[in-house]
Amino acid sequence: MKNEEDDLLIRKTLKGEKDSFEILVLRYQKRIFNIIYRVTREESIVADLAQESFLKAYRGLDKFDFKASFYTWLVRIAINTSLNHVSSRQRNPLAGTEELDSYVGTSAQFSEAGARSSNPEHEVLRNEQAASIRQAIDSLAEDLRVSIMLREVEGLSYEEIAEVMECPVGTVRSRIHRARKELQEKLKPLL
Amino acid sequence: MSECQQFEELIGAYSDGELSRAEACRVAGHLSDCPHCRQELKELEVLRARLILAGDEFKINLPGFAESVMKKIWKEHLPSSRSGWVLDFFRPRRFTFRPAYVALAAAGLMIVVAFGSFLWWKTSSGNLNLARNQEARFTETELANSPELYLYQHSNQIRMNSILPVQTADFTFVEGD
Repeated sequence: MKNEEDDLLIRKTLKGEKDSFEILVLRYQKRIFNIIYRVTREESIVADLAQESFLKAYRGLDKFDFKASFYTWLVRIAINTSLNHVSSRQRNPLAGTEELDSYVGTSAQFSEAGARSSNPEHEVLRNEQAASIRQAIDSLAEDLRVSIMLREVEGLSYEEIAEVMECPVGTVRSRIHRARKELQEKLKPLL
Repeated sequence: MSECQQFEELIGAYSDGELSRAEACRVAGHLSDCPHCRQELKELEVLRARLILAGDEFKINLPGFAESVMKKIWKEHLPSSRSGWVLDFFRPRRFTFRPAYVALAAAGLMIVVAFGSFLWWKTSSGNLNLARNQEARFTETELANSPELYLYQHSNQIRMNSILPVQTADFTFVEGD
């Protein structure tokens, strides 16, 4: 998933054209929100962690070696930032319960999503199933959970996941296999 | 280890399209002969479909997000590289009130006032010295013939002596009082 356009924008940013970095933010923000949300399961913290991730990426841009893709590099930063937050939340469960920041816009999409359903009963069932699956995913060990999420939801290749998680491709294959096995076991009634 | 156990991990990677051509051929050969592993593959596909279904999205809009990130970058003055500092210096900035700025401005003002005072003092003393030297050029006859000039010279000298240390070498004559 190496992207020449991204490399060009990074080079421009490194030359001092900071606005080029904004294009990268606009390009990947939605995917980063989703990744952070799927790791943390906390809507209120997504914006802050995403901002932190992009700032970390910006600060470390001169260390980017152009061998990997910017996106996988950014995903790694976002996942590490999210996992740090999760572990600090586990240490201090009361932290991170504040409201969304001021730049949060309308949440109209929420109500739209609810209104879109043509069959309410079907929608309720579907939501229940989705909740059970999410619960099962959340109960996995951290490395398995991140691996399966990056594969099944983000659609990253094994090689990209290996880049993100900084481990060999064989380890990724093994983690994904173990995650699937555990999920099959946990979701037997649903499958 | 049975033959199926050998292929267990590979079936998932096969289904993800993540095997080399040779490995994929080997797995395909086994699948065609093994109903148990074919069933495994089918169950895996069902699970994958379910997992995609659970891939819930973050649904809240953050319209000014990119802008807020960039503001933070400008605000924190984060250098992306060493080469960018020149452009960064000339970047137009929005003024924000900070105590540090006020302190800096006050310090600057104090330096300007102190330097201005010093210059004024230097210029004034220079003028006085000049005036003193010029006045010293009056001859005794001129002073004797002009009481006004004498008084002017005398009063000036008293004023100068009260401000500056007396440097008798500057005077070409000595008053007789």
